[in-house]
Amino acid sequence: MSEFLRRDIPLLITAFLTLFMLAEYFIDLPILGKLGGDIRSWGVVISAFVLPIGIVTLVRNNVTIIRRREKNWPYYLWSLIIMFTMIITGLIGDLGKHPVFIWLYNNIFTHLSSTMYSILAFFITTASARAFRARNVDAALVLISGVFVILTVAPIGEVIWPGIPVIGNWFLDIPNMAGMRGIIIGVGLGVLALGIRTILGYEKGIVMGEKER
Amino acid sequence: MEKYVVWKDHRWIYLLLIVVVSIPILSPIGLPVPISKSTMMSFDLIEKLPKGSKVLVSSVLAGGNWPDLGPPETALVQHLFRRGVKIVFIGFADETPTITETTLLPRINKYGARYGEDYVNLGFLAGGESAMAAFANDIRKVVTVDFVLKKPIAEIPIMKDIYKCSDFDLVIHIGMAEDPIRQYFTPFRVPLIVGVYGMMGPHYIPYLEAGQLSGMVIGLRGAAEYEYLLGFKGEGLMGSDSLSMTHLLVALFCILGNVYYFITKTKRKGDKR
Repeated sequence: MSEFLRRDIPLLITAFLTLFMLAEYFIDLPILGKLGGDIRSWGVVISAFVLPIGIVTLVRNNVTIIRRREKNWPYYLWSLIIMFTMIITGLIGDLGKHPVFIWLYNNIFTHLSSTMYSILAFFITTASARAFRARNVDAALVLISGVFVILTVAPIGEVIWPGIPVIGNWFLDIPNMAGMRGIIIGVGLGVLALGIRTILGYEKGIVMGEKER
Repeated sequence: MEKYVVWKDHRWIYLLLIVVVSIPILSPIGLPVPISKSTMMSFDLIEKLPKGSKVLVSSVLAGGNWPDLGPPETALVQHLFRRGVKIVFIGFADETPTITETTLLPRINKYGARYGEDYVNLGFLAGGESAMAAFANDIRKVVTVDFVLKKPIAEIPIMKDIYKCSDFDLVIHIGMAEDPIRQYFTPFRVPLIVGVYGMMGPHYIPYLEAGQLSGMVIGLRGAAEYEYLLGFKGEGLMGSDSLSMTHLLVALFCILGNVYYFITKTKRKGDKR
């Protein structure tokens, strides 16, 4: 009975809703449209529940590490302090308009987020010097086209030689487009196959853990 | 030769990158900015919008992706305000409504546009593409109040006669392009312009050529082009020289790294004999 409740009922619900939404998309009936709209709005509400679950999980994991004084535990404590500071100041008065919240957001959070994203530039530059090697013909072709595209995307390419954007745009418009079209079609077919497997109940990973699977 | 190889210690590379990025910001070079076809298509489409048209600006803008997505959205929204169209903002990332109010809109000349009558911020919807689908099909089912005034959207003047995606004359999405193509363009055939990450631009060229996208502004370079067309200096143009120098540095490292590789390879083969 517990297998039926844990695995089969969720799979049946998934299959039914998937087929229903498919029918709603292709068949133009007012009742299907109305029910489909309701189901889509349920999705928004269910997704919103992920946020408090994330907060609870984060607090639980961090408190465990802090209590056990594991390695780097002060950073976990600091992350909890900052998280609750942002939550509390964001909820005081008009939501998200408290001066402390806005100051923390504009002067610390936004810049730190951008910094984390910008670290990628250092890794790419290091990789270009140390890892991008033309060890064979294929790698050499990728490297040559990559250099042309890098210089096409930046305005300086045209300044160095007017032929660089011409060649770079050829790479983008012909081989790149052909390859991307193939990839997009392949991904579409893969998603279609995954959808059919989900409807038929073969994709048990959505309701079961990796070990049970 | 080994002692001259700068990439043996990657800290030299980091230092070189910092110098190369900083110098053009402190002392702009003023490199010309050629306009790409995708940016020109976006500009022309918005330029032809009649005053009073309704435009949806849907976005996943956040602090982390501001460097790549913020300048394109700033340029596009500035153009919309200049055209005097009605703008509805919606976010599909949790930070989007806040960053729209605190960072994006303060940088823009609104030409006297009034909140509620000429533009409105509908907040954030959780759920990614499924939220986008729900929003596109029936806005009032998923959004009940706006983000700033917390007023029911039925009472907001700009939202009169807007019930679903097909009620807009144009949709602009800032983020990845596949979701809005599936949820805005394919079911409703509303013209769609996207502002995308710089590295994803080549990925979406097939959609532009197929007509599913009516325009595309690609990252910081696209923002620089758009600002040049608009005639104002924003983050795009300010960062354009740094972008050029960084790309040149990466290309040089690719070439020099391989020259070094082939020289040492030949030397290694010679030693073996």
